Amino acid sequence: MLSVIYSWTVTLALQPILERALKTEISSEFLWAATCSLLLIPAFIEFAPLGQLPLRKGLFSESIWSKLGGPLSPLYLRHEFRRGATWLMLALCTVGSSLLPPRKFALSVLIALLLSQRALFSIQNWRRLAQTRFPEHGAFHLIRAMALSQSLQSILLWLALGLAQVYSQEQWLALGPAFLACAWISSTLCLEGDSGRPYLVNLIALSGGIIAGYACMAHWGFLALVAVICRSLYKGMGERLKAVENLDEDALIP
Amino acid sequence: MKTLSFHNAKIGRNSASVLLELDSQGSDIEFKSGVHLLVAPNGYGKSTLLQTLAGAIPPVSGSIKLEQKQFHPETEMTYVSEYLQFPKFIYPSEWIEHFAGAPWNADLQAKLKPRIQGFRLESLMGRYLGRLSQGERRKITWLAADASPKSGILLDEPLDGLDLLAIETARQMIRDWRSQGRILLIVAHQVAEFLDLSDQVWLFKDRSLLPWSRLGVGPAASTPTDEFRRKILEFYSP
Repeated sequence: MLSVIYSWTVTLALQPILERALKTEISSEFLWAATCSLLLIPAFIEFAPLGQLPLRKGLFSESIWSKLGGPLSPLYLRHEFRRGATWLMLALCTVGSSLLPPRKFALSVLIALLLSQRALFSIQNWRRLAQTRFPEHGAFHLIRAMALSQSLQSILLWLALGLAQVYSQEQWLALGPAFLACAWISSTLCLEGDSGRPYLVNLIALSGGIIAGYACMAHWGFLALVAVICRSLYKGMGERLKAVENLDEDALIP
Repeated sequence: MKTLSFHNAKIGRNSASVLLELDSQGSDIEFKSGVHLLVAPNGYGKSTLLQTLAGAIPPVSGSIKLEQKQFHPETEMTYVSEYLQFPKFIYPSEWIEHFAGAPWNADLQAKLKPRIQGFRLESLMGRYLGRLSQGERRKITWLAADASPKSGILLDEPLDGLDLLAIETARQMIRDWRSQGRILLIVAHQVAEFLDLSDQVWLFKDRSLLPWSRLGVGPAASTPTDEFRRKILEFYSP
């Protein structure tokens, strides 16, 4: 029931944007089906056995990472950036954005959202680890760790598009705040949808990311508003890990 | 010596399934520094109690205090769950330093070197956690608990998957932790491995805890295993 509601919310948020960008009418039903199907791409990548990159031991051990992303972030960042899935998604997003015609560059925001969509498919596993490791502040630490990871990935995507020089400087600069807004909102909402249950949380984060991303692309000043909203939502997340289900199971986070 | 005490605490997953009602006032139900073994059949609330003390589940009502002050499990307790939860692409040293709250430097390595040798993990420290067997990961959880600076350690079925030699290393760690004044709570079906190390054994009766000492049969630590087993079976027989 919730999946249906959230997926239609995404459809309603996407429809005007896509119709304006593509200058064509799109039926709601088609868009709904396309959106749900599109989420299968990050899901497939997240769960595919893609191996890892041999990044050195002790990566992200510098204190700045803990200061920015909380005590869970060194562990989270190491795992994320070692995973082949992370880099494959980043590569696909770069290629996908690069293939867009310059006048359709706004669709890059939707592509950038796939970075966080991938990570959200396994946030439920991290929830268990955060809950047992940090019972009082685990929710905060998990959100911060994910936000830092997604910020880094968004910046990498933005820089890659800059290097590829597929857009004008004005277009490229407009994408920066949009990408960051997508990363921040998606991360802040990672414990929504029944504490991060796959698909529910994806649809909620997608809705929030679309609104925040396009607002910030319209004017970079909205990034400050997004930061305020994220901070406000973040403060209310303290009790989100208190559901006790799934504590009593082994879990190897892929 | 530290003391964990209960104040009208109801322990359970929710108000409809309270498993324990504990109050230290006027009773001897409290956990002082030392080794506490929790012994009961499945479903009596042993793991639920540990998870509550770990902070993963809040008490249904009432409170728990450490040294009569507000208890913060996150900073006071290291919870070693029966269930192994690891990210796949993390090295053992990175996992340990996460629990230690300190970098994997020469001091930490020197401190843990005897344990790593005892667990025969020297050649495995360069592998990702996802590439280790269940028993090897279990050994890493022991190392992480040893590296943790917190005053309490909660061990839920900590010997699952450990070989005989590893169990001996684990027993030595228990002795060392006890001498450091830590509060140790252990749930283990391999009771015989911890019996002689225990300062108190707790039985579960009428939604409360009963210390072994109240059975009037002498300290559990000096009770022969066969006799201990017989007493437990008598106690819990319907």
